[in-house]
Amino acid sequence: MNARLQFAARIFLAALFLYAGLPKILAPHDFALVVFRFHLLPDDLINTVALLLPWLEIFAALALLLPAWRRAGMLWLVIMLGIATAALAISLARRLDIDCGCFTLQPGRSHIGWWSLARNTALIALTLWAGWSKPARAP
Amino acid sequence: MKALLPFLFRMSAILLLALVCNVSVNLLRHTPLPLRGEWSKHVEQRALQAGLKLVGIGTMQHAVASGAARVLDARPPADFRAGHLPGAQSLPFDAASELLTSMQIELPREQPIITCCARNDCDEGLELALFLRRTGYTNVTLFAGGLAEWRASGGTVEVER
Repeated sequence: MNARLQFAARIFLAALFLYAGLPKILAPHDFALVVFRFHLLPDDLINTVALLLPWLEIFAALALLLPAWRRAGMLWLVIMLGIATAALAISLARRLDIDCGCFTLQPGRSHIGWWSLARNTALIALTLWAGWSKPARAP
Repeated sequence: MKALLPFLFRMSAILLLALVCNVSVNLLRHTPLPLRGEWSKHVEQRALQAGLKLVGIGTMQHAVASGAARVLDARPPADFRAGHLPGAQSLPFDAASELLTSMQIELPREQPIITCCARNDCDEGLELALFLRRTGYTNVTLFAGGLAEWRASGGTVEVER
């Protein structure tokens, strides 16, 4: 039962991160602006991070579906979610009036707030739980 | 240790795949995103360096809906007439001094003001905000995304006929 739930959670997470990554790949200029507006990275790193992050998100999500690659995918997702959550917390503390850009790049649809912080924390917990299970072995 | 090596290999492989895809797909784009952007010259960076507060689309939506702040559009009048944020007032940056001193536009000093222009690569909104602050307005903020971000968020636009 637990294994089935974990499997369902992995499918959900993979779909979620594919859904989150694709718009960022399709509109890298918009995503770079989102990254810039957090004012946390040196200027020289903003575009590089904006280009790399969505691909990492997508490949980590796909890895979550492959038994042998599951934990590697999980760890990448947890690292990215952890960094994003820290960035959100810092921005909330600095009272920045910005969009999260987490799942959509459309302006005004993802304003940062305590809700986005709670959602990310829940996603970290779910990713850890779903990705930690041991890969099934052949009898 | 035995299990760690394959794990590290898989972590690195995911990173490598992401690197290869991002570089190759970016190169194939019509307008690739340069690896190093000129963000230090970006209007929002200049505004922050000047100590100006920025407002985002959420605050802008609230300000337009509630009328909590005066929205001043710093673009030329023709651009303003072609489409502007609901309730916004035209105050072209290059004519601001003249319009304010001749009292054609009445603007109390302590009034919350949000300036804007076309999009986040124009600087008339920033220049107008800095001008207003220099001339004694105490509550001036900048909506750097301008009309383009307003439109992208699904906001309606008023057209002067």
